[in-house]
Amino acid sequence: MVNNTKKTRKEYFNCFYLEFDNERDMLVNETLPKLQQYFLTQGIYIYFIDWNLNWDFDLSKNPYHILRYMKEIQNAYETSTGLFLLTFVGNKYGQIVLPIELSTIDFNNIKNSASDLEKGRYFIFLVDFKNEIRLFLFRC
Amino acid sequence: MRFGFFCLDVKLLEQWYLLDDKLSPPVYKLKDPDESFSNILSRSVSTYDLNTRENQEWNEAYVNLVDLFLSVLHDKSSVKSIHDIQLLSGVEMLFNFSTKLSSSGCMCVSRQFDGMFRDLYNYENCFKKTCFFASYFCIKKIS
Repeated sequence: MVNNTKKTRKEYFNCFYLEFDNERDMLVNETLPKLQQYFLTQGIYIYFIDWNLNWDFDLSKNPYHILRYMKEIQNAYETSTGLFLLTFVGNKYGQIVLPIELSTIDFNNIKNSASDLEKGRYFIFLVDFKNEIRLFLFRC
Repeated sequence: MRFGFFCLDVKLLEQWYLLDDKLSPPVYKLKDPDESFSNILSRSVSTYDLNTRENQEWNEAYVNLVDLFLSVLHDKSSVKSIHDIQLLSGVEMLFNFSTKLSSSGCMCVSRQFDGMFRDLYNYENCFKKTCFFASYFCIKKIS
C-alpha cells in the first residue's frame, strides 16, 4: 500500500559493486520505467539510486562515502514513502570499511598491539597436496 | 592475496589517523582520502594518469590499514583492550543502519551460488547473521 501523502519514493540499491551487474541493469532499465509509469498515474515519482553506477572502483574503501550514503538513506527514509533500501547479498562479503574515528585509548591500544605484532613477522605459503591448495600462516 | 613476508605498518596508522584535539574528548580521525588525493574522483581523460596513480596509492594504504586492523583485532591478546571497533563491509553497515531506521522499509535479496569462491574474512560470522536478517525481512515482506 502506498501512502499518498508523500509524493516521492526513493530506493537505494545496496550491494557489493563486483556483483549483481545484471540485476542492477535490469532494475534500472527494465523495472524502473514500468514502475515510474504505473505510479505516475497516482502522482508518485519513483527514484532508484544505485551508488555503484558508473564507478570502476569500490567507493566503500573510503569510509566517508559510506557516511554520506547513510545520510542519503536517512534522508530517503524521512522524505519518501515505502521501501527505501533494497539490498542484494551475494557470494562476496565486500571490502571492510575503515573506522573514521578512534578514541585515544583505542588508537594507542591498536598502535601498541600492531607494534608488538610487527616484531613477529608472518610467513605465508601455499602447498599443493594432490590438487588441493592449502594456505599456511606462521609467525616467526 | 599476498604471499611471503609482510609487516604491519604502524607508521601508516599515524600518517592517516590524526589527533583532533578540538573535539571533547579528543579523537583520532581518518584523513579523507578524497581530500588527500584530489584526483581520485576525477575521471576525465586529462587526469586519467593522476587518477590511476592516486587510486593505486590509496588502495595500497587501504589494504595495509585493513591488514593492520584485522591482525590486531584477530590477535586474542589485544581484543579485550579494544572497544567498539567493528570491521564490517559497506553493504552490511548500510543494511544495519537502515534496519535501525525502519525494518519494514528494507528488503534484502539473498542470491548465493553453491561452490563459488567466498571471501575468507568474516564471511561465515558476519554474513550468516546478515543472511538471517535478510531471510527474516524477505519472509516478512512476502507475508
